[in-house]
Amino acid sequence: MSEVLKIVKASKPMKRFPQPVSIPTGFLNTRVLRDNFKRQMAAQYEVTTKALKFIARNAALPQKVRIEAQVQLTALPNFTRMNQVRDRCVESGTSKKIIKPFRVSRYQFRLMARDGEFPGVKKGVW
Amino acid sequence: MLTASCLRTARRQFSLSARKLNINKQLDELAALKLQGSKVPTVDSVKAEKSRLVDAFGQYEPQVLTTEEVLPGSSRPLPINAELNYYAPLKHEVKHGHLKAEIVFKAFEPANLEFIADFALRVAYYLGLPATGPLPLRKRTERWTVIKSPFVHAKTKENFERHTHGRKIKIWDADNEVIDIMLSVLQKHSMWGVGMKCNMYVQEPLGMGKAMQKLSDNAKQVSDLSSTLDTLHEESDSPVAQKVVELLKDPLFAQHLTSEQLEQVQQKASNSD
Repeated sequence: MSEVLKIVKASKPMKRFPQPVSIPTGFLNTRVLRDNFKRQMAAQYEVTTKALKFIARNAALPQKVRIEAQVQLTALPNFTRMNQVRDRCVESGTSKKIIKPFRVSRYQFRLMARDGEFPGVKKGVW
Repeated sequence: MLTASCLRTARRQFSLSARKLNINKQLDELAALKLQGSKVPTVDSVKAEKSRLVDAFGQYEPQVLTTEEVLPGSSRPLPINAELNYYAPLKHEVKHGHLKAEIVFKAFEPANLEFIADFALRVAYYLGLPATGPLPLRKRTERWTVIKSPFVHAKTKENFERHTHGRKIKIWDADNEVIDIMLSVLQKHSMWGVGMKCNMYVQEPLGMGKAMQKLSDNAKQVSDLSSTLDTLHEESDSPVAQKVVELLKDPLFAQHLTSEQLEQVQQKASNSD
């Protein structure tokens, strides 16, 4: 089994993603890389998606052309869609409880705010 | 000829004086000799006028409002525009009431904000712009309550907050170009931690309604292929419009178009190229 795997690896190097992408700066883990890949793909396919949507939704064009555009739109891989990306903490990579204006999770936000990393943010006293 | 003779005399005189070591007397004689040969130039009236003006400028005494007339250490009085920094900024009167621009400053701390608003009013005054303000905007308070611990223990929390203060200055009856100058001055001397935003207002002439009626009908472009293509042609700078034309020419989509429609598309595409 391991021999077979070796042959496969030698013939075709394993790729993490279907298309080559650049590595993001900041905290890195598998999920951050995956999310970043989706972001880059969404940016790359943005024009195509918008053009296909223009054709699909334009009542002036023949019905068959519009349906064809809709089919092409559905055939695009999921990683080209912007609704696949999720906000991730730039400090720790977690996707839960992100504080939007600062792009960090709740615990990282607390640490950084206490250190005075965010201008104007201070301990709330009222 | 004259100068040559002068030089010759001078050389002789100098050698004599060098012998006698009575240079001062000889130099006076030399000067007298020189003056004999040259005319005294006459100053024309225009230049004389100008020199008198320069004299008048030298006699200028700046007005001061305080009793202390001389700046310590410089033996000069404090200029009036420098002294005005100690008083509230001067403002030009609003004559016509045409609002031309609103400059909004925002910061998390009010100290720098007060300073920059004051500075902006002074800039407006020296540019001759009627300005009013600074109008304090409502303080915006953002609060975040986060769990203290990295995992569970959600009963213990910590509060953080951020206040955003704002000041608004309104510019009236002004030319857009002068407002641009003012904005560039403010941008050049911008301050740490203070954001600036400007809303500019333009007044349109009467008869705007008629002009708007002439604008192309937007509803038409979704009911008619040729007007759709026209729209794409007009927006040929947009990458999406380019992509749409490219897709329509693609055999995958072209197979669904009639020959006339395809011809129309190709004609428009060649026009845009």
